[in-house]
Amino acid sequence: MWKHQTIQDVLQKLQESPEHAAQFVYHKVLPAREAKSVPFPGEMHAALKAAFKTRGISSLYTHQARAFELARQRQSFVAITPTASGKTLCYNAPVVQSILENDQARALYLFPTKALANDQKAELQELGDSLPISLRGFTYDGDTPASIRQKVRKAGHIVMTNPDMLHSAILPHHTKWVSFFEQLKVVVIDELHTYRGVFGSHVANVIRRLKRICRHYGSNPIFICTSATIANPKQLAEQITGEVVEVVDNNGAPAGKKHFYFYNPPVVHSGLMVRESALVSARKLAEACLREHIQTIVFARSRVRVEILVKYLQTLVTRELGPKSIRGYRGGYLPSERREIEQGLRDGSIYGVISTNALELGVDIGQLQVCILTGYPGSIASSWQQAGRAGRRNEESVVIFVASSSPLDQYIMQNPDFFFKQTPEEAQIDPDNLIIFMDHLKCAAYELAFSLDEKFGAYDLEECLDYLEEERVLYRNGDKMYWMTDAFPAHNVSLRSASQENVVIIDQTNTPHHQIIGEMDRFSALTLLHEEAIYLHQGIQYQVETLDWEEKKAYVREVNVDYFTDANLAVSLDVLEVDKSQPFSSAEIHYGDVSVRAMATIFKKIQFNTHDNVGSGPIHLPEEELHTTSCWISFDEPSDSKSMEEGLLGASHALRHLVSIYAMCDVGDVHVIPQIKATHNGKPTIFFYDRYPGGVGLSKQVFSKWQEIVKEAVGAISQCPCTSGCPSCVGMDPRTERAKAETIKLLKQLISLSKVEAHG
Amino acid sequence: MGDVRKKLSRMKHHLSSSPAPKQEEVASISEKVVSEEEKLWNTSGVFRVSFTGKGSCFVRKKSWPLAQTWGDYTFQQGLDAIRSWRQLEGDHPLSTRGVHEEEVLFFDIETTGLGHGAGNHMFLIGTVSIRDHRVHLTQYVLPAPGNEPALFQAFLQECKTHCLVTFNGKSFDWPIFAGKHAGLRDEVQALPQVGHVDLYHASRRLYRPSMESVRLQEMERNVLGVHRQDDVPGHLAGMIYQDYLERKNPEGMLQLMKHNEDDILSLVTLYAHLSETVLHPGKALPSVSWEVARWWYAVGAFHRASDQFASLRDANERTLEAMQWYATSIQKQFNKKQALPSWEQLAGMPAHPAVVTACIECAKFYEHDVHDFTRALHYTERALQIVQEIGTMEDDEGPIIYRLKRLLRKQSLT
Repeated sequence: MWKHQTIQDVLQKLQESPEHAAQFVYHKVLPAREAKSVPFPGEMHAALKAAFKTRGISSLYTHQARAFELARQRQSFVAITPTASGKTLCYNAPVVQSILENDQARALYLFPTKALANDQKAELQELGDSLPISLRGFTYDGDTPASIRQKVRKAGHIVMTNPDMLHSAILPHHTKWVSFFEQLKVVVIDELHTYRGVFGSHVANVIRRLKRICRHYGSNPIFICTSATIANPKQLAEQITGEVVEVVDNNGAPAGKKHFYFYNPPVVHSGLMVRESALVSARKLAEACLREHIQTIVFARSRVRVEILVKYLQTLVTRELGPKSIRGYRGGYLPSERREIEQGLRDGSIYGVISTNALELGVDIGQLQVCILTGYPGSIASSWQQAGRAGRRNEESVVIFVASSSPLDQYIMQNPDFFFKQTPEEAQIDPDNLIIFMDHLKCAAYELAFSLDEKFGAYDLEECLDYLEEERVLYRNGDKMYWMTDAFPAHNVSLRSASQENVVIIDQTNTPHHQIIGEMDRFSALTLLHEEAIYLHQGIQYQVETLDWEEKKAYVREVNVDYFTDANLAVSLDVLEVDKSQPFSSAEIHYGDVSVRAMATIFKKIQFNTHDNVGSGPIHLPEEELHTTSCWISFDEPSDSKSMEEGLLGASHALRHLVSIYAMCDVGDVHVIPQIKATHNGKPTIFFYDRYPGGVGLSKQVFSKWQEIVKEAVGAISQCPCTSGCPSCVGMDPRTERAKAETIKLLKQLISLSKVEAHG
Repeated sequence: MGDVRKKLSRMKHHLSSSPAPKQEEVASISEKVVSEEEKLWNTSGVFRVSFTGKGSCFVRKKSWPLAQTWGDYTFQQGLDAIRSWRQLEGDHPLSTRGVHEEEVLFFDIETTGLGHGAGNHMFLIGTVSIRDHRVHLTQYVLPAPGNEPALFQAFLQECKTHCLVTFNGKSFDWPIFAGKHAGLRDEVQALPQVGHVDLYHASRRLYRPSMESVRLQEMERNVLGVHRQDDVPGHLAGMIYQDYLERKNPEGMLQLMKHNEDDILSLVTLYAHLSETVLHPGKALPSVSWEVARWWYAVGAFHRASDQFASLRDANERTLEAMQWYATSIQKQFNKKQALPSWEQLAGMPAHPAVVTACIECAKFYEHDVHDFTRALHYTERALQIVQEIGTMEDDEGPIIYRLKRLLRKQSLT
C-alpha cells in the first residue's frame, strides 16, 4: 500500500504541471481566526452549564452569549453565523434554559429540509443526555409514525419540523396541538437565508398564520433566526417573522486557514475566446484529489451539470475507489436516497460528492478537505456557504473556484476583489405577492374563522375576504367569515414550487413496475421534460417518451446516448400596468405588471464532449401564460436599427447574469427578454420579469439597483480580453465586429443623468 | 396597497378557481325571508332553540314504537341486544354491560368535508336512544357557522349517554366531535365520560373475510334487509349544507336529515344483528361463526371460544383446525391436563399441520408433566413422520428432531 499524497502535494503538482500552471490565476490565503470567548452568563441554569461542561464546552463565543442575553429579554433576533461557528447553541441554550425553568414550555424549530431536522435532533439528544431532566425533542414530518404523533403533540418540549409540514399538517390541525400552542415560547427559524424568492414569500405567510394561531391560544413566542451572511438579515428576518428583530453578528468562533485558488480554464479557440468547459476542468481537478482519497465536494450550478459530472467522474474513478464512492446530491432526489448519501459522507465510504446548492445548508457531513466551485454559484452568500463546506473542523482547507465562460465568472477572474470585497447580496421576498397571499388567506380562513376587524397581511383584509365570499369559498355570518367548502386548501398550495402544479417523473423502464423518480415545476418542464428530452437522474440518462401535460406526468425510460438536450423558449410580452418610471436622456426604465406568454419551440441535441449540435426537433406543448411583475427599459427610436439590435442582444446577455446577483436568485428566476419593437410602445426594449406569477420582488430589485447593475455590466464588458465580443461578455448572438462597442454605448446611456426626478 | 380588487381580477386565472359552480346572487336576507325559512322548517317538524350569547340551533325529534320493523328486524330486537349483554360475564367490544339501557346512544354526525382539519365543520348531530318503550330520534342542526356553542349546548344538556354506538365513529365522528368541543371548551359544558362501541370494526371483523365491502349500505343490503329509497348520497353532505347556507331553503337539508335518520336507525338493527350473531352464532354462516369464535378467543373468553369451536368441529370442512382451536381454548381456560384428551384425539387424525401441533402438545405434556418419555417419544416420532409426509413444513423439522434426540437421551438414562 503506497501512502496517499496530502492536499498540499496535490496542489503543488497541479500548479507545476504544464497543463494547469497558467490556469491558476489567483491565490489568496485567508488566515486562521482566534476564538473570542466569554464565561457562561450568571443567570444560565446550573444544570445547563454542567451539561455544556460534560460536552467539553466551558465558555461561550461572544455571539452565543449575546444570543442568550437577547432571548432572556424575550427579544427576537437573527444570528449571522458562518459555517461551523456553533450557531445551534444560539438557540438551544435559551430554549433548554426555558424548559429547565418550566417543564410546560414548548419550542418549535423550523428547518428548510427534513434532513436538517434529523441532524439537529441528534445534536439536541446529545445535549439532553447530559441534563438532569428528560428533554423531549421530536421531529415531526412525513416520516413520523402515526403511533407516536400524539405523543409528539402532547409531550414534545421541542418539535422540529419544516415549513411545509407546519403549513399542511400542523396549522390546519391546530385543535390537536392546543397544549403546544398555548405554551409556545420560542420559534426557531434555522437557515433563514434559504427563505428567499417564492419559497420565502410563502414561508412569511405561513408564519403569519402561525402567529394568528398563537394569538388565538394566548401565546406570543419570540423568534430566533440563524442565517448565513447576507446583506439584509434584519430586513429579511423582519419580513419573515413580522417582528422587530435584532441582529447578532459579533462572531467569536475560530476558523482554520483557508486557501482560495481561482482557476480559469484554458482558451481552446482564441478567435472566439472560447474556453474549455468549466465542467471539464472541474472534473480534472476533482480526479486529482479523489485519486489521493482526499474527500472532495464539487458544486455545480444546475441539476443537469451535477448529473453530467457524476457521470464523468463515476466512470473514471470507479475502478480505483468502488462504484458508490462518488455520489450526486441535489434537491430533486427522494429523501431515502439523500439520507444514504449523507450517511456515506459521515462514515467515510463516500469520497466525493457532486452537489447543487442542496448541501449549502448546514447538514453536518463531517470534514471535506477540498471544495471545488464549478462556475460562480450566482451569489456571494452562496459562494461563502459552499466554500465553508471545506474544513469545517477548523483545519487547513482548499477552495478552488473554476470559472465558466459566463460574463460574470470571467469578470470575477479579472477582479478577484469583487469576490472578496463585495458586500453580500440581499435576499428578496415579497410576502404580499397577491397570489401567494390569497392562497394563505384561504388556509388561514380554514384554520380559524376571520373576524372582519382582524389584521392579516398588508392588504385591505375585508376586500380580500369579500372576494373569497363571492367566490363561494367563505361564508359570512354576522361579523365573522367561515371556511365553507369541502376542500382542504393547504393541499393545493406547495411552498416550494414556482408554479402550483408539479410534473411527476415516472420511470417505466421496468414495466409494469413503474417508479416515481422525481418531480419538476411546470415552467421548467416546458424545456426539460418535453418529449425526446434527455433527463438525467443520478447520472443515469432517461429519455422522455410521453409527456402527459393534462395529467402532469412525464414517462421516461432509461437510455444510453452521448448527448444532452437543450430547448428554446419563445416569449411574447404585454405591459398591463406601469407602477413606477424613471426617464434617462434617451431611454426610460419602468416597473409594473406584465403578461408573459411562453412557448417551447424546438430542442437541440448537444454532444457531451464536443458540445456539437447533433440534431434537433420541434416541441409541441401549449403556451403557458404568466402574469407577473417586470422591470423594463425602453430606448428611444434609434437612427440605425441594426446597431441597436446588436446592442440589445449584447446587453441582455451581459445583464442576465449580473441581475441574478443583485436580486440574489438563480439565473432562471429572472428572465431577460430583448425586443427590437416592444408590443406596447414599439420601442427597442429589454424586459426583466419574475418567473413566478405575481412576482416576488426580484424585478423590483432590478429597478431600484439599476445604476449599479449597469455600471458593473459596462465594467465587465470593457475588461473582457476578447476583441469584438465573446460568450463571456456580450454573447455570440450579435454577429458583427461592433457588437461590443454598441453594447457599451447603449448601456452608457443609462448611466448618464436622468432628465427628470423619479416619480411613481 | 393599491387597488386590490383590480389586481385580484387581473390575477384571477392564477388564483385557484372556486370549488363550486357559481350560482345566482341571492338578495340580502330580509326579515320576511327568514320567517319564510323558519316556516318551512317548522312545517317539517324542525324547531329553533336559542341560547343567550351562544346562538341557536335547529332540533328535530321523532319517535317510533319498538314493534316497528326496520328491514328484517324490529327495534325491540335492538333493545333485546342491549339487555342480552347485561347477563354476560366478562368483556367484549360489542358489550354495553354496565350502562343503563336508556343511556346507550346511537350517534352519527355530518360534516362539510372529510378529514380532521380545523376547517371541516360539523353541522348535524344525529342521535337515537331507547326509552319508555319507544325509539327516539333527535337531530341537532347548525343554522350557520358561529352557532356551534348552541349546537353543543343543545346536545349536551339533553343527552345522558355513557356509551356511544357508531359506525366508524372511533376514527371519524368522535375525534371530530371532541376536537370541535375542545375548541369551545370554555363556552360549553364538559363532555361526559363515554364508552364506545364501533360497529364498523365489528362488521369488518365478522364479514370482511366473506364480503367485498362492509360499508353501512352494504351491511343494510346484505344482512339487515334494509333497502333505501330516494336516498341522498352522504358524500354530498358538504355541498348540500353550503347550498342551504346560500339559499336558506331547507329542502336539501331535510333530505340529508332523512339520510342521517336512516343511517342511525340502521345502527340500532345492525347492533341487534351483530350482538345476536356473536351471542348465538349457531344460526350464522359457518365462515361468520368461525370469526365469532376467533373473536371470543381474542378477547380472552376461552370458555365461549371453546364452546363455539366445539360446534364448528362437527360442522364444516375445517374440522381439524377447529379441533386445534378447541384444544387450545380448553388449555387456556383450564390447564394442559384438561386439554390432553382433545390433543390426543386430534393427534390420531390423518396428516395435517394441526395434527403436528397436537402431537407436539402431547409430547410436551408427557415429557415435562408426567415424565413418560416413551409416550412422549411416540408422539414426537409421529409428528416427524407427518411433517415429512406433508413436505411443506421444513422449518418445523429441526425443533422436532432436537426434541427427539433429547427424549432418546432422557429415555436411555432411566
